[in-house]
Amino acid sequence: MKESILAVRNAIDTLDLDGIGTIVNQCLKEGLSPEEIIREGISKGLNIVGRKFEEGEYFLADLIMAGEVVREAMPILKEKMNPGDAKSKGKVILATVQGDIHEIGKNIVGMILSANGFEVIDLGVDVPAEKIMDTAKTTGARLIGLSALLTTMVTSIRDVVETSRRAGMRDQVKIVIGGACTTETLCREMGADAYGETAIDALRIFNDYRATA
Amino acid sequence: MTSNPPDLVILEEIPFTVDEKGFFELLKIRPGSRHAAELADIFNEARTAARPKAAFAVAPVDDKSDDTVSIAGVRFKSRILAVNLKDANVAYPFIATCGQELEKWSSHMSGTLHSFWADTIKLLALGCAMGHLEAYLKERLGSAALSTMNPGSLEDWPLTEQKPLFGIIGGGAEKIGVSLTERMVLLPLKSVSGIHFISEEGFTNCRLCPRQHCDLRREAYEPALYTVRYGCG
Repeated sequence: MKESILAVRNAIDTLDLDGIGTIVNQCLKEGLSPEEIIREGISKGLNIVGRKFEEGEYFLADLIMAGEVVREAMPILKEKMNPGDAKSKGKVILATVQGDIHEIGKNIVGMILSANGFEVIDLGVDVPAEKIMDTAKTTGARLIGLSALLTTMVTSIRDVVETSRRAGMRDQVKIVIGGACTTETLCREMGADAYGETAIDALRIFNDYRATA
Repeated sequence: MTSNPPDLVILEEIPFTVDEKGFFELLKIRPGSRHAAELADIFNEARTAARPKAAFAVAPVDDKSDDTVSIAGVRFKSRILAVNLKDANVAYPFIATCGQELEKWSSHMSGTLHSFWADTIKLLALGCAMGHLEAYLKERLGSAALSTMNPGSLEDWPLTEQKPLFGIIGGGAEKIGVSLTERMVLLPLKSVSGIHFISEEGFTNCRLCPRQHCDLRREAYEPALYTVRYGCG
């Protein structure tokens, strides 16, 4: 493995926002392709950060900064890629459910998904079920992430599931829930497809769905 | 500070005592880095705007059963609260908030990074309000054995119990600019409601909360505690 690729991983792991640009440019100068830098440097760097988060060594601030480091690197790489080479992993709709206006958790999930190659359609907070399903129809997105922080919002999760059913789309979409009030049990009760406790869980779940689509 | 006799106390002059160096470390921003100057500006703006506040009531615990407790004539349904208050004659329902001033200030923040920074600042301001309230109560009561329960933190005492809590402390909440939506969201979002009480045994929600990933965890989860101490679960 080239040292410069390892430096990309290390820059993400150490949250080196100021250094990543120089490191990525060095990789390109050495003849590494943008795709290889993303695959071997950025993705693996994010994996390290994700693992440290799950092990309790890193916190939300680390996740956010790692996302920022990737955001800094991507325009440099995309500029060198041929049109069409920057393949998206797919579209994900994110929304905080109707009645709830908490957004930070959802935004962090969005940032991690974007950094990992998903195209995120962020509908914001207090989003009615109908708007979520209309967006799924018009954009073709088949992955939906719902955030709910408070127990008084859980019925809004069921609303989304029911609305997808009424629209005849229940078997076409995957509905993933997360947020402080959600659990695996609640996920089953509401008829959603999966529950992610953290942003890293959400990434793993959406990656799995993409792999089996 | 203004007291509204007989039972309501409003704490409006709460200092925003957040250490700048610690704040930068918390957000993983290195001194001298490109984001450091940006964050310093945001922090200084916030420090100027911040007006954390709190309100509490001195309320009699007037009736107890196995699963309910009545405070100032308002009944709450919670086995854990009832057990925690079994020896208490007085409880201190409270609301603490980062304040509408910071909420308004943060509304112009855009992008995940800046929103996260602003959210962290508001959380720290709320921490100032809660810390100040606790210190004030401990001094007033001459006791360090102050514990807290918050509706919605545990399944046993759901979020909907904020409504009766507002029946006691609603006037104070209004004075410090906190409101409760129909779906039990406190506004500003970085606000918290609960009941302080004296407990020699001590109590924190964390000991009964199984959630693994929580930046706010203060004590380890003790699954056996539900049965051992509260005879439920």
